[in-house]
Amino acid sequence: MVAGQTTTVSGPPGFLPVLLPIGLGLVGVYYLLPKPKGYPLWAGVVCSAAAIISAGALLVRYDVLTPEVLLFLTFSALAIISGGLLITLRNPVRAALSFALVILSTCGLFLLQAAPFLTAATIIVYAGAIIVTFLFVIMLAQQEGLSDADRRSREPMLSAVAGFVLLAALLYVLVLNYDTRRLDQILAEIRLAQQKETVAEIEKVLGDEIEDGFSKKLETISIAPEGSDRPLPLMERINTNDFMFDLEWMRAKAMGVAEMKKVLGELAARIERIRNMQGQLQPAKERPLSSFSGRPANQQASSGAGRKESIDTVALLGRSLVTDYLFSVELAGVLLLVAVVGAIVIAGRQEGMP
Amino acid sequence: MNPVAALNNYLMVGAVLFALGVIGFLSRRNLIIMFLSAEMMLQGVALNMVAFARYRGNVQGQAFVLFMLTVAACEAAIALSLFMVLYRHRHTLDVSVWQELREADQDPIVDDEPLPPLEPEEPLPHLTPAGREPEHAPS
Amino acid sequence: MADYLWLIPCLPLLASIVIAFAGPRWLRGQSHWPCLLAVAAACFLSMLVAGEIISQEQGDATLKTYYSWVQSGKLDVGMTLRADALSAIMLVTVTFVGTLIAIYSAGYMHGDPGYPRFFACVALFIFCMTGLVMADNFVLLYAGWEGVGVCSYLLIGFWFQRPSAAAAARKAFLVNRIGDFGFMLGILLLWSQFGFRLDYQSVFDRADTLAGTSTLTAICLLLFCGAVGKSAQFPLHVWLADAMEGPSPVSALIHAATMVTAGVYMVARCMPLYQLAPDALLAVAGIGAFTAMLAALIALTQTDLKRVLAYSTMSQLGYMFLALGSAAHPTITYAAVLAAIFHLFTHAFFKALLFLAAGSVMHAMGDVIDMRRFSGLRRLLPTTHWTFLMGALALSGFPLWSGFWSKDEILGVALEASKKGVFPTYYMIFFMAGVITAALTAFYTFRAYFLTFWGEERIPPEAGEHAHESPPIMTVPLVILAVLAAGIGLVAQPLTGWFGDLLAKTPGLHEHPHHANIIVMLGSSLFAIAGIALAYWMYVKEPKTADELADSVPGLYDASRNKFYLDEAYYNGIVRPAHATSVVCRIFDLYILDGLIDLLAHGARWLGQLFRPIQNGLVQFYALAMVLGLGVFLISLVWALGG
Repeated sequence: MVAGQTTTVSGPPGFLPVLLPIGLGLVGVYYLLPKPKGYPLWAGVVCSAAAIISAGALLVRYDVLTPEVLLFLTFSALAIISGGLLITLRNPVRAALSFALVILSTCGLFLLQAAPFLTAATIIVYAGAIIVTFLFVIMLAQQEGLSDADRRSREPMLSAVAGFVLLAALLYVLVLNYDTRRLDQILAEIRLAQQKETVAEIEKVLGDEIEDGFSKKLETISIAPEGSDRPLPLMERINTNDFMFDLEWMRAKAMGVAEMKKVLGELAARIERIRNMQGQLQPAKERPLSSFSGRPANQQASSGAGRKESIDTVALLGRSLVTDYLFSVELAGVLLLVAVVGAIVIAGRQEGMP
Repeated sequence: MNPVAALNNYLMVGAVLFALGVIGFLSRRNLIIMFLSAEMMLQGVALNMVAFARYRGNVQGQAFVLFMLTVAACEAAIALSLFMVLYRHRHTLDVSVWQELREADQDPIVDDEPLPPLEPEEPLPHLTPAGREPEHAPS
Repeated sequence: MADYLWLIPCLPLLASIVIAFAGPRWLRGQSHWPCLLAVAAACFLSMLVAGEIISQEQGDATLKTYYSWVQSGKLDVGMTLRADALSAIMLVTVTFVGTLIAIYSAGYMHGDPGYPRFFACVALFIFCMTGLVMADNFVLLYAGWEGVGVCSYLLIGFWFQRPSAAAAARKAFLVNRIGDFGFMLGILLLWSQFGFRLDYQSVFDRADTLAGTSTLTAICLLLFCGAVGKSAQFPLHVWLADAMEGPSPVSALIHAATMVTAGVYMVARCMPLYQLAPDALLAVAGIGAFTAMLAALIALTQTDLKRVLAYSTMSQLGYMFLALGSAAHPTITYAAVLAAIFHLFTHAFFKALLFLAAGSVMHAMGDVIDMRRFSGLRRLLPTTHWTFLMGALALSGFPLWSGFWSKDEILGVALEASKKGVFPTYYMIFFMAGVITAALTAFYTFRAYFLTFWGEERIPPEAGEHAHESPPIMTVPLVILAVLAAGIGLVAQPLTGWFGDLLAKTPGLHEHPHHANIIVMLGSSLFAIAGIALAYWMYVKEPKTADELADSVPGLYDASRNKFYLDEAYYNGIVRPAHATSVVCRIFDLYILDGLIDLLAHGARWLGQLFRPIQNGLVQFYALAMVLGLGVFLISLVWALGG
């Protein structure tokens, strides 16, 4: 969707956009899972590819194809494809390598989400340490090559169904709760109206009878407030004690275009705020976080559009870890030590071996 | 991309990774692949955390992922050593050989479907030992 | 006084614990010492308490709370001991008789394999009994009440190898349970009605609020229900005669002098309540009078010496309840309580004496107690004979002996009640019953006396060649008790009046001047002497008359001998139907309930078989089941949340 366009969106999102990629993915993964009497490789690949493409087209939302969006699409496609490879490749060595690919692509996603430290840490820990150790074990254990077990799956049909049912439920909830298209559309209309210079033009953009048409549109859209699953009409959520849209609009129309634009600006700000809070669960009011850790999530000002954040969260994370999470960090250190000792004890046990 | 839509996209990718991990854990029989699938599920969850941290504009999610990383490392260490012990007992990494904890009078589950013969792998190239004349392709 | 109050119950408890742990291994034949010392010390302390109360100007109850026992919601029970005049009298009676009986037992029980056990139980009994009379609230009273019940059970069944003793112990316990159940209901009702308080003072202070209501009558009757069980009144009297299976000192201590009087003590203690419920008082007096008469009639024909004494105990307890029940008018309340407690006091001495003397006879006769098998023992057992005679005279109310004074008070009070009370006719009937019972008492007492000690000398073979008088350790307590049985009545009340003065110091009991009724006195003396004379004539002068008389009225004679077939009636009326019901229940349980349960079990097994293959030992399969379940759960959740 491109900003400014006023394509009509009506009704809540259906189950269909979720169902199509899920069904394709289910068939594809089932085809690809190792089985004694396998299906042709191309069928599985085609189905899976179709699933990924349809999911990208139906479910992923973006306005403009910025470089950030492009990177996101690339990394997530890579992650999903290599994840699929991990569970379908028969050779464990190759599976492990594709796992490394999953890690690398999620690290790319981390980087896009302003988490450079995590990117580095995950690459070092997973790709650098865990994968290598696993490869050692595979090499040690399976020197003779592909084993029979790798060419069979345990209940491929049932597990694919279970996994995709789970995924369908998750995706449907996400689609349902984070659907911002109608609000985006109203915002676009208002922004368009703001650029007009006469009352007639403004009214033409917003609707013929401004008092009824536009207000009614605001009434018919229902958005659940954060922390609740009971939807309220948008109008009720816009209006506060000091800003009743209908009254303000009547007043502004009497005073001229400039005042009308001002009211529209306020309306747009309010709707944008509501959109940005959509689907949010309210965190606990009292959250004992120090000021070192950034703004706590329960301060509403922290989330919203137009926030300019440095990508440099490393310093922030460091301060947070040694202040608010100091005890947890110590505990994690102890846990690592215990794990190392335990691993040595378990793996080094030799007595009673056959 | 408004912040809600971005959050939505990242959560979806996390969910997909999680679900793929579930399928891998349930269907694959190699202990190591099962473990890698579980790790992939963890990655999906970590992605959720990071996305929320970004959306809320603080680092709580990232801090949590760091601890997940720590626990995953510990888990990997213990799991690998356990795999070694298991391997020493049965000389295979197949999880299906460990099914003693079934009902006493129940027959073990045996794979009876025959596997197709393996396609012969291409021979790996190797170097001729030193001091010997290498084979030449017939010219 | 408050400082050493706790020692009175705790010393016997300590003794009991010491004997129980050290007795079988180390003390053995010396096991009586801790018990003896502790009870004697308790007796000394009790006398100190009584002395202090006598010296007080105004009689106040000394309360001492040691700790809060139960504190839960509206229930608040403190470990509170109470010492007032009534408690003090009971304490002195219990511990003094207890001391003498402990001394006697050291001789009587000598050589018994359960020697330490006996003294441990006796000490435990003294602990419970002193606890009972010193309790300051109904829960503590109930605890002591049950405690003495347990000790009674243990001691009746002391020779538990004998089936009859074990059965008697069980019977005593079960019959007491019936009464105790009513008693507990009474306490609960009282608790709920009197502002959820259980200490005497609060309850009695609030008694006026319920005066004359049926609730109060119900409370009093339920409490009396407990007394009926514990004090062996009709219809729960059946256990006491069988309780004679226990050793004679036990019969003397528990089933004559102390425990069975707990009911009398309780009713006297609750007199502020009973006073306001005339219907309940009438029931008390009626049951008392009826039991007195019934037991006396049964005692006429019994051939077992101890059973005669047991029935006379019931009869005398009936007298005490008759006295208490006659408190129907405020002006005679004091006289009624005085009469009952005074009779309790004198009865404790002379009945303990009689039982101990009977025990001495048994001791000499090789545990034979059937009066048909021995006679003419007065030369063989001179001390026993004389002391028994003293007790018999006291029991039959022979003039100037102690029983005479106390019984006289009771008859006087009953007559007074028939003049002043609410139900004059009834009380007149009760009075007449009391007078007739007095004559019967004298007759059966001396029947037993003459049959045992007069006539030609016959000794059963069980006694062996060397039937002899008991050793001094047994005869000395007998002599002390005989002196007291003869004289205590005269000394305590008509001569010095200290007993009345002491009792009048009980808080809540107000002294009213009353006079001994000379006519009643003379009349009852006449009846008593007539009874004695008749017994002399029938069993010494003309020994055949008794049998002839028995033959002439066979129905009556057999009825009396068989205790008016009450045991049989209970057996046929209660035990048998209960047994039949239990058989029906058993069949129901075996074939219907068990069948249902088996059906359920089979269902469960079948289901298990159905789902068994799931348990195939493959970890992945379990995980798959979990994830499938999770998927179903998630989908239903999405559905429910309006997906």
